[in-house]
Amino acid sequence: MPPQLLLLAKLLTFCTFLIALPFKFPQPFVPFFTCLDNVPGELWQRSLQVAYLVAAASLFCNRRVRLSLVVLGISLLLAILSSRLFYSNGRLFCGLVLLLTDLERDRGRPWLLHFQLALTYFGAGLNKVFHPDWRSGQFMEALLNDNFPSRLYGVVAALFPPMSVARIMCWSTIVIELILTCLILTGKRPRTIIWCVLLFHGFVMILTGSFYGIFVPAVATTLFAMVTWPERVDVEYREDSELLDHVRPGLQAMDFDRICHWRPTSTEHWLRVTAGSRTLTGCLRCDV
Amino acid sequence: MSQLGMVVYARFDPMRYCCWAPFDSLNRYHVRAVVAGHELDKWEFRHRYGLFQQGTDGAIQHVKDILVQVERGKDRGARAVLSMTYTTNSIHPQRWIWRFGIEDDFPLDPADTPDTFPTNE
Repeated sequence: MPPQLLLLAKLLTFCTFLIALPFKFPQPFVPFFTCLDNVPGELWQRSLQVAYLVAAASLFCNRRVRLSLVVLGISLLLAILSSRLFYSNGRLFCGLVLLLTDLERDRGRPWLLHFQLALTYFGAGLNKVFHPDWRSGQFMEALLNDNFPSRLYGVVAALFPPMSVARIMCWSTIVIELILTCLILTGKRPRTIIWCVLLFHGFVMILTGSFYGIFVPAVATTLFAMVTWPERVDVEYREDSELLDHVRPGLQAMDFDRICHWRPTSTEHWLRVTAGSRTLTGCLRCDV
Repeated sequence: MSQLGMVVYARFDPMRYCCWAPFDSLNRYHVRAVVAGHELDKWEFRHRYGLFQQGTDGAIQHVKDILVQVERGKDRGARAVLSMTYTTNSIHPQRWIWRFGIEDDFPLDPADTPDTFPTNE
């Protein structure tokens, strides 16, 4: 499995533990399929939790990674199916991403994850375009006045005609989501996509003071699917650097895939890292 | 493809499952429930439906689906009447009444006027 997808899966699983998601798995109650009403509740709940915990441990130990991802994704999706009360877009997105990560090929563009991300923004944008309260700005007015009262919004909105700021914010959201859909599908400008998504959700989080459950962490980790992982990294360092002499063995030990090639030079830079066409230079002089 | 189908289907149906329309509306609701002639208090309501009697939700159809499915579910044969008042995006006050096994008029105090609709106070 490509390292960026493995990292994505581990970070996402870690995030689910940060919000104790597997410990919130429900017993069947108001399920999406009524046949689940007949399943022994506690047995169902504990089975899913144990399966999730074992699969997560296996994933973190790099054992049977793909099987672990299947179990993680299906456990979460089954938990959602077993109770409408447990349903949320964030949890569904999280379960699908875990499952789709497993289905990705070892090489090439991770199409399934890109499609999932694009579809998420497309669905959100399309729904908002057809919603009169989004077109008029009423949603944002209600959100920032009633649900998450924002002083900043109150101050700014007071400077302009009624609803105009709310309408601009609503339409900005719609346009951003639809543009993101196009950018993700084309696969071009991955760094623009990453920054755009992070700034977009970061702004909404600051404005509302909410993480929206697992949704924002899940989207943020899924952005690793937009990254091209380098196959070789050349690290040139000054051979007279005492600090690097101490730090280098530790860094090399963490490089499990041995993609970093360290080479001492007498370059003017303290450190020079080259990955593909990009070069980063460090000019730290602390031990020179 | 099925997800894409759900996105399109959501244009013609109030349900919001799997269509990637997160948090598209802000709904404040208050539900009164009478089961077998007894009006549930907020604890009984929470226990029976798993929902708060008064709360918020991103899709009001989600709340309706849960309430109806509980009453239609197994071992839930009791006669029940549900009355929900809600506002969407702080406007559009509406009232939704659902009867199960009862043909009479709604037995609660019928004075559910717009004044009783959920507000932010």
